[in-house]
Amino acid sequence: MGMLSNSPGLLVLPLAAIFACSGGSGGDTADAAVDAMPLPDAFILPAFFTPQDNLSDDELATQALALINGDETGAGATTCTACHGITKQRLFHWRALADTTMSECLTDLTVPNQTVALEMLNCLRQDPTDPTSAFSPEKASIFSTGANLRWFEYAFRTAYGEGFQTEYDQFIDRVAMPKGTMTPYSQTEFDVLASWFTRGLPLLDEKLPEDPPPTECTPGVSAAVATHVADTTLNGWRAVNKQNGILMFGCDPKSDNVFDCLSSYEQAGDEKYSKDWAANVQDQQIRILRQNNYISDFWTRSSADGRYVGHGAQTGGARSRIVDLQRDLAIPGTAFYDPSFFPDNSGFMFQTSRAYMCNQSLLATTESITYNQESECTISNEIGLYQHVGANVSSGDYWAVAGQFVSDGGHGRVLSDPDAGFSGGSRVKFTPFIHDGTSYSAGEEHPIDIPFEGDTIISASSKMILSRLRGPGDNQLGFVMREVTTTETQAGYDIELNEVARYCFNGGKPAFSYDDRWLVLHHYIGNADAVDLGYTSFSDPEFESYRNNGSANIYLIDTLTGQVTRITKMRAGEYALFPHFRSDGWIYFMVRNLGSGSERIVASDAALRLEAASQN
Amino acid sequence: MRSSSQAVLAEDRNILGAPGTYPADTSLRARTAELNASQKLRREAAWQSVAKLLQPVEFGQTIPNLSSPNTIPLWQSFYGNDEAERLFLHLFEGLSPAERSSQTRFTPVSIDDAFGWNVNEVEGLANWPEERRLAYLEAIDSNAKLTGIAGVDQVGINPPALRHIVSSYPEILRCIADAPPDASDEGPGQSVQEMLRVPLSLAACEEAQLFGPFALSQGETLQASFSGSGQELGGATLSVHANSPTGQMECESDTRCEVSGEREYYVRVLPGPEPLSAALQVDYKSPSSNWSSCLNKPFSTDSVIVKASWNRIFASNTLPTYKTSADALRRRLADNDTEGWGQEDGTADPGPDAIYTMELPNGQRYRLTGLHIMTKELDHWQWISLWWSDEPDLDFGQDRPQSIDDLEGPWSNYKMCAVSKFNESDPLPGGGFEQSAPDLANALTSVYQGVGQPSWCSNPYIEEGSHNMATNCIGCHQHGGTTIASEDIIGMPTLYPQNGRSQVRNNFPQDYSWVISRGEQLGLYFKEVVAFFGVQE
Repeated sequence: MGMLSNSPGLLVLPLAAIFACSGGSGGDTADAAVDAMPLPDAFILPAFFTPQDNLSDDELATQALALINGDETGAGATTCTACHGITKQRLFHWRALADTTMSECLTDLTVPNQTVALEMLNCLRQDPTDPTSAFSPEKASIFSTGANLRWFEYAFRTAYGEGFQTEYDQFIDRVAMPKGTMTPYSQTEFDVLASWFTRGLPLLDEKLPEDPPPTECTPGVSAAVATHVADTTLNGWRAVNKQNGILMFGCDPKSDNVFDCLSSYEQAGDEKYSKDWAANVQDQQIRILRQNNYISDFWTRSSADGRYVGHGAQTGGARSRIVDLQRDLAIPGTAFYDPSFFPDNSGFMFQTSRAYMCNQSLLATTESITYNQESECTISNEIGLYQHVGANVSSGDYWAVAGQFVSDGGHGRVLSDPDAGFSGGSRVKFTPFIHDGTSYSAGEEHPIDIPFEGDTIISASSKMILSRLRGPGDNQLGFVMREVTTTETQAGYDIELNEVARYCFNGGKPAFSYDDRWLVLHHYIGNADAVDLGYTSFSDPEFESYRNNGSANIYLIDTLTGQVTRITKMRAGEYALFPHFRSDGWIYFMVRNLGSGSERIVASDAALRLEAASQN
Repeated sequence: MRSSSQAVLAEDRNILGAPGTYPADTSLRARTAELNASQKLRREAAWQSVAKLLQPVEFGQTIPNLSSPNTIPLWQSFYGNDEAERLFLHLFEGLSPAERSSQTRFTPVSIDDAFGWNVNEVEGLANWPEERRLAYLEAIDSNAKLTGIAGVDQVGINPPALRHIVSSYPEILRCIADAPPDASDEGPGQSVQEMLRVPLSLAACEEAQLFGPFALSQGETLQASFSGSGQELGGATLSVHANSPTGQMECESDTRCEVSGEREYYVRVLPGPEPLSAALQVDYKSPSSNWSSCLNKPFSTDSVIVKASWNRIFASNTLPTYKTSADALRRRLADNDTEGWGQEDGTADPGPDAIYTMELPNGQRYRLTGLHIMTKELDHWQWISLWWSDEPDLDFGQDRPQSIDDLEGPWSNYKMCAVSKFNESDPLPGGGFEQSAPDLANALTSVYQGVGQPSWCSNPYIEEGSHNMATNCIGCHQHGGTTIASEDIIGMPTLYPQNGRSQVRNNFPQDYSWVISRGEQLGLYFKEVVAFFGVQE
């Protein structure tokens, strides 16, 4: 997507087209009347939004920011801050996206006929040329806050006729903001938001004063990390799962040699395309587990036993897939993205417009998953997007964390790590799933302030969390790790966080190993990586291909020492993404090639090799 | 989902020791008709079974920070689902690749060995060095923590029942692949049912050991045999006696006896000049159809399966309470189609002296609200349900025998219902309790629909949801081994009349057990293990 200037005031819109029926007068009375009206006849064109010309810049900015910041507390709230850090950079970025939406997709708000309607709506899909590809919130931009309103319904009716509801529901599920149990914005509220963005976010600087984010990252690891890892070595999920005899995919259960696992799969380097993928770790094996004939969407996560690999799906006719490596089957599903597997191999969570929790046993036999029809699945309204889950080994309760996040789809060409635009009001929200004696139910959400941090993950043990730290310009400064202490109280739990480490390295959302000893993450290659990759500088002509096509590599961070090790060297246009551990220490990740319609599931034993080397 | 922290893990079993033995009454099946026809006799037998299951059994290890004896109720020493899975995996791993490929049945001896391995498995685990094991043991400093070692697994399976399940894995897998038989199918041929299997280790010329009585019906055959041969038997003999331990000897052999006829039999084992180290197995052969084609054969007579209902104790929560008086039951029966047991009558916050309570090693505390019991002492099982009550001496607790009240622990606060048949055969609405336990008689009358009409037994803490208050355990369990949903069984009267209480099947695919095909789905786990090894090999 082409980026526009971040400067406000440059947006040019076909404003005349917006006034479909309500004229330009706006005003509270008229808007209230529109809100109160019953659903219009399908053939009466509603206004997309009514520009709030009667409001001054000051009034408009004040009202719009109040709507964006909202009130995060309680069910039915309406706010953007539950998921997004509202920084100036972020709002400028959203305004740029809005400009693109209006100039490239929503080009004729009068929706004159079916052809135009289809063109406009397909433009809001991830792949506009594929009418089955998913609708994209990013392409709908700030106008996703009006997805529930009448204009979009009218456009879908016009585009799809009588059977419009299915497509419209998918659009709402996928695009409508805010998500979850929050209340959608009303037409009146949307009018204010859309007006502010299309007017160019006037007075943003004055109206959104921010405490300055940190400017430095000082690396450090406290002794508490060593104490914790010593405990999890005996009592973490890696040890407990091994004790419980979970059957690690591709391993001989009668063998203790974990390096023999997955040996039946092709090794990187056996074929030309994967030559030199492995880097920096002696004897590292990278095994190619599967080639998927579709493109995944957002992150990938796997079951503790490594048998199931789940992710959203951009292409291939299903919204998401969970690959059963044992049956060599990519199970299609109706969830969207963000799978999380519980560390005890018992279940998984997957996001639609809500979060579903399912028994993992479902995956052994099913050919497809609809989530709302399987008895093995239950819905949870409490969990936000980009959630991560863990389970306390000793208490048995499961925990999910969510909060402000930055989308990292890995789609297309990416030339830098995701931004870290987390606001000073950022909070991480802990939700326990409490065993009451017979079943699990979600407990009360516990929000805790973590200013300027987001993309928080929780370790398998649920005793550590890690967040990406914002620096100047919404750029990332590093990672902050905190120890989590939970205490049962009358109301449920008290949660205390203590910072135990800072790792001053940047990349996408990491994942913990099952003993909390390692973090693994992808890092998009930028100019600063040229020397590490063996080039003289970023201006080295041989580095040009990276500058043009981008790439991503996999990195390990030793939580005990902070030592960072790059374990892959992908070619330009080749992206190693979304790494994560399975229970025994093998790492899974995805490999995408720019422009390709397929991608690979890949496994590495790098962390195990480093562990073995450190013990010798 | 379930969490392993609530299960009996290797470190816990090592402390618990092997599960205790349920002393099954192998003659009870001879009284089936009279139990069916008398609520009073049925309840007496059920209370006796409850008393046996509540008997304290000693822990395998001495607990250093608690005074002895350290005990746990027998039922809580049974295997949970996680252990059943671990044992199956261990057994299947122990087969050769060819045996795994052909799904060879485990030998009785290999299952004995696996049961023994399970107790000491922790000693071979790298993450449980001796000092950690000792620290774990020393952390047990209260009776609540002691009982917590047994976890909060919902299901408890005694060793004979689990032996039968794991040895039936080929049939279980076949039924998963081919689907269980249709309800109307008649199973062909004879069935052999195990009544007893007991390992024997007797010195040379030691005193004879007596087992029984074993009751046979008309047309049935009793088989008694040693598993073992030659040197292991040491010249021992076994003999079968009719009607009394010293009654007429019907058969004598050094390997195997077989007798027929409708009476009670006793089996006597006399060691020979050399020590005896083998197992005695007593089976009966029935001319009736093999009603459990998704198992190797029906469960053995000494099999017991329990399902516990636990309630986690938080600082702020209380326990719902339910009245089971005649009036209360009538009211709830009227609302059964919409409410089931529905809204509680009140709340209570009973302490450990009033309700069975335990504390897991992680500090979480749970109280036992209900216990669902099935014992195979009857061909169609004996069905018993216990529930905690804040009015324990009324109605379903009014006939509780002194033997229960005398037990250590708060067991006198539990009420009980019992069923032995789909339909009621007792002509007395009040079960004959009008004089001795009038509240009970009234309560029984309120759920009595007449001879030939469905029986009743429903636990307010276990039978949740609409339609579930007018159930009888056996009706739902007849479908064990099928994929029929519980909600359908109790809520689709055209297919399953009387909230599923009526017999609608000619066969019982997994002999009334749900533990294999529902809940934690042991059968599915078996399938996954077999498939996993199939991929590897």
